[in-house]
Amino acid sequence: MTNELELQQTPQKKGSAFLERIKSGVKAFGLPRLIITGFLVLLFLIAPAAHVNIGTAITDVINRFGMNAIMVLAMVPMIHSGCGLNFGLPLGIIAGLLGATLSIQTNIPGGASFWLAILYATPFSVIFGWAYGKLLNKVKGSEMMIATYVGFSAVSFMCMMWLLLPFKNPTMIWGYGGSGLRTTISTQGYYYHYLNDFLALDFSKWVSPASVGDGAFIGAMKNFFSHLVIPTGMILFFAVFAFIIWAFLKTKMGTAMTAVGSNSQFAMASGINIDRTRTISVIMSTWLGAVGILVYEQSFGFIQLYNAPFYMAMPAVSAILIGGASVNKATITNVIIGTILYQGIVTMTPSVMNGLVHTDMSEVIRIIISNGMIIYALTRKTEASR
Amino acid sequence: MSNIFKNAVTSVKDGFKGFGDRQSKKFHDFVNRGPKENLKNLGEFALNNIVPIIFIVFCAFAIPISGQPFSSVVRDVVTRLMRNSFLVLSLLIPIMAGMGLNFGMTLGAMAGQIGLILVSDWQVVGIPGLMLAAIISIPISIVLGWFCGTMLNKAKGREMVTSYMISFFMNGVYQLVVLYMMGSIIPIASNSLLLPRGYGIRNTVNFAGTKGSLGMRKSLDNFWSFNIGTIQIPILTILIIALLCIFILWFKKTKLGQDMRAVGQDMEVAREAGIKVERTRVLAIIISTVLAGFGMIIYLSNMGTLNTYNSHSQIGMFSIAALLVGGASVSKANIRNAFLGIILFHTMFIVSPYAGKNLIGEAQLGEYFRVFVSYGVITLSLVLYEVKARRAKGHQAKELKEAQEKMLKNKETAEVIA
Amino acid sequence: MSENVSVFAKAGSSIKAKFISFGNGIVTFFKTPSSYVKLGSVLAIIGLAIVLFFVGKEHQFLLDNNTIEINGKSYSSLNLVSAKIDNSDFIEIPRRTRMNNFQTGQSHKITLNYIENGQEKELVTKFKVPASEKNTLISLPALIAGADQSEWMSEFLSVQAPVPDEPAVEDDMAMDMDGMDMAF
Repeated sequence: MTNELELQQTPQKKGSAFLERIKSGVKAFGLPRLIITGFLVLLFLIAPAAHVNIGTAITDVINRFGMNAIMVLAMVPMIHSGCGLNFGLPLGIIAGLLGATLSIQTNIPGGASFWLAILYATPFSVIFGWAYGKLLNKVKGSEMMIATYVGFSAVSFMCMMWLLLPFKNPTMIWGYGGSGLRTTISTQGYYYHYLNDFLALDFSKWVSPASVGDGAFIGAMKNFFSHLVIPTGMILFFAVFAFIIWAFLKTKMGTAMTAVGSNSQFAMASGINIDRTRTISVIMSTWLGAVGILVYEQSFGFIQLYNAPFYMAMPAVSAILIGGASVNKATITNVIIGTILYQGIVTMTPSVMNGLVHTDMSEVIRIIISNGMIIYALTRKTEASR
Repeated sequence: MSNIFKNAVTSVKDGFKGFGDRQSKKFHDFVNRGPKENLKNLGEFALNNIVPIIFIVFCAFAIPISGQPFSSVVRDVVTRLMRNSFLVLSLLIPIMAGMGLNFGMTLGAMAGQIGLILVSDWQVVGIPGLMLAAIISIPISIVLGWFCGTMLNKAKGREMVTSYMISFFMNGVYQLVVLYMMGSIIPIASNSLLLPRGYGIRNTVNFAGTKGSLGMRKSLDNFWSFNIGTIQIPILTILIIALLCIFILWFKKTKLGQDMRAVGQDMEVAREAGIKVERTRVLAIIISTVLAGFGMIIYLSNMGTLNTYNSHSQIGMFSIAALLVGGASVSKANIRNAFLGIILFHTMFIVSPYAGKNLIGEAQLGEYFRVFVSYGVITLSLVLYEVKARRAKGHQAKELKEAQEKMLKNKETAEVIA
Repeated sequence: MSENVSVFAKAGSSIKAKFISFGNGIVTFFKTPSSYVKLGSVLAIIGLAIVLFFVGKEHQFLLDNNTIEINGKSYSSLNLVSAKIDNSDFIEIPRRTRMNNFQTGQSHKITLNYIENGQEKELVTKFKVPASEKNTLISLPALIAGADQSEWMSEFLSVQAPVPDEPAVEDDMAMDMDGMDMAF
């Protein structure tokens, strides 16, 4: 150990110093993250060869970023308070689904139903989050495993409930022969694309695709912009939430949360109620999960019930880890970078792969990358404190 | 060789004797204590065995409601007991080593499946086919188990969630191998195994043997069996399961087994005693993975069909749930837990769709219910274990504090006297 | 420059050390008796695997009762033959038909019952099939007429018919799997 230190301190040749700097840079950035970034850049570089339009690709990535970013943001409060990665996100998602179905049951068309859904989801997510937080306080140190199974239990319990709950709106229930809610419910006529279309920048309205007379550069630019759509409303919505969380973490409550997460002994000594702080963070995460799924649905167009929420925590967890977070440290920047990288790979691999080799290995690549990232975070030596 | 056998026999004998001694001691204690004390103990017993008790009560109600004849329930439970025992027993060794429930047993299941796919492509059938599949699965299981164990050594204290994530990660690798490499890099000749596009294995692989072909389905069970009423009792399968039980009992007595228990109790103490902690832990996972591979081969030979991309992930969850239903916890599990758990869990599994249908008119509800119960049981067991562990820890800390205070007091009095 | 050299020298020495330790490992491996036991058991398992492969390898025999011409010599089909391979049941093979039979292993015994000149006759023939041969055609008229083994036994190369995707087993299995078909 000491030898290493000495080696670093001795003056070295410029070249090796530069190498050293690169090495430390790589170390700080994390090798897996570097590989993933490189992979994504590579995908964008070879996209034209696979006949994938960059404009479409970027539109897809931004759209999927907006759809998923709030669910990734839901990881932040719990990581800060030391509850680890929120594998119990499905609980929040269920609160969101309850809000969504109740809102459609109320049958108010248009964008108002979106706000109504958030309103309905709030009490559920507070109650669920409170109970979930209490439970996690009893099992400090192995929250993640139990969170996973709390999520699974909740989803499978709700499978029964979707079958039994007395919903009446004909758009939601099986027509004849069956009982209970449909597996997928369209949000068309309610809040479909409510945020997506808010102040959306649709460049295809102003730019037409390249025509014969254009030069190479102009043609490329035209091709790019004619396929570009930016869902401003959805991005703004996320920005507001990100700002709120960022500001919250600066408040007294927020700093107390961080203190509980980074050093609970110290937090206890300075008079912070650890259990209460943790419970609040869990409630926040759960509510963000509920809002996150509503944003997802308004863009996706469907409410997915029954088994759909089972594995929805995994993409969010691996996205924040790819963004540079660890089991006990996360920032808003991690959320943004991570979601862009993860969703970038998820959207780019299928189209590029299909264009190049006519096989779709994207699912396998997604599984390996996202779970590999989670394993990497779980096995890092610096965090094996607990 | 005979020495090993002798050891095994004595250890099994000891096991039974120990069990008998414990029961008779319990009985004596029961007689000697007063009724009030006994009632209190009963409460404690109920709290410690809450999961099995819930299940016994549930089954007692659900079997009559389901309207299934008792004999058919028994027949199905026996079939499932034979099918699943080996898999569930494969979970015991990592628990002994203090590594919790080995969610990485799916890795072994994948290895077993790869073995079976290759063997059925080579058209090696019957018991030789199963044995060959088992041999093929060994090196794959060892490599996967080594990987899993090494990773878990880097994540001490959160082995379970890590092994769980590893099972997901490896599922991706498995898909890469089976869906893309088989038929393109790994030669597969049979058209009935390959997808129409020419590479990758189909969603279902049939071991039953078609058009008079012999196949591997039930070859183990039918080799040597007799019937009680309509219930088939496969002697060879029972012998294999018994052999594994003897192996586990014997293994506990070996040097490695003792090391594992020491590591499970306290890693640091074990390290100071000169035990190679990391190596021991990796070995525990490797043994479990290899056994899980064998278990999967037995399971699939009984089923007759492989659900290529689902079987392994399902079996992990159901095996773990079954073990926990039997009263096992994250740190303590024995053979009895495994068998009791399989019987109770699978009784629930068999009757709940019928019960759901008879109660509410929806078989689907029963199916959702049993999935909920599987997950719920795992959650409940994990929570109970953690709560208990924390309480014990608090208790320990309290005792330590009291002892310290006592010592201080003694010191003070001693000083006063002096 | 000198620093670099020293670094390389260092790296070289560490590689050398690794080689030496590897070599030592091999030496100790061959010195300790338990290593031989390990090596032996690994070899034994590999040996067992090879044996199992040959013992368990399945072969399809197509018992053919058609008039056939081999090497310019014609063997006419028989009126009625019944045949069994190893310990299977006797199967009757009428004129101009072909029956199949599955067996494992390489050494087999075929027993034929047929009527010749109004007399019932039995013919027992032992033969071997190569392990790589999947389907074997046995011409019964040629076998009974006493032709050479290379004449009455030949590999049957069938064109593998494309199997339709998703065989009908799916439904069957859904029942077998007891509703384990959850969304995973």
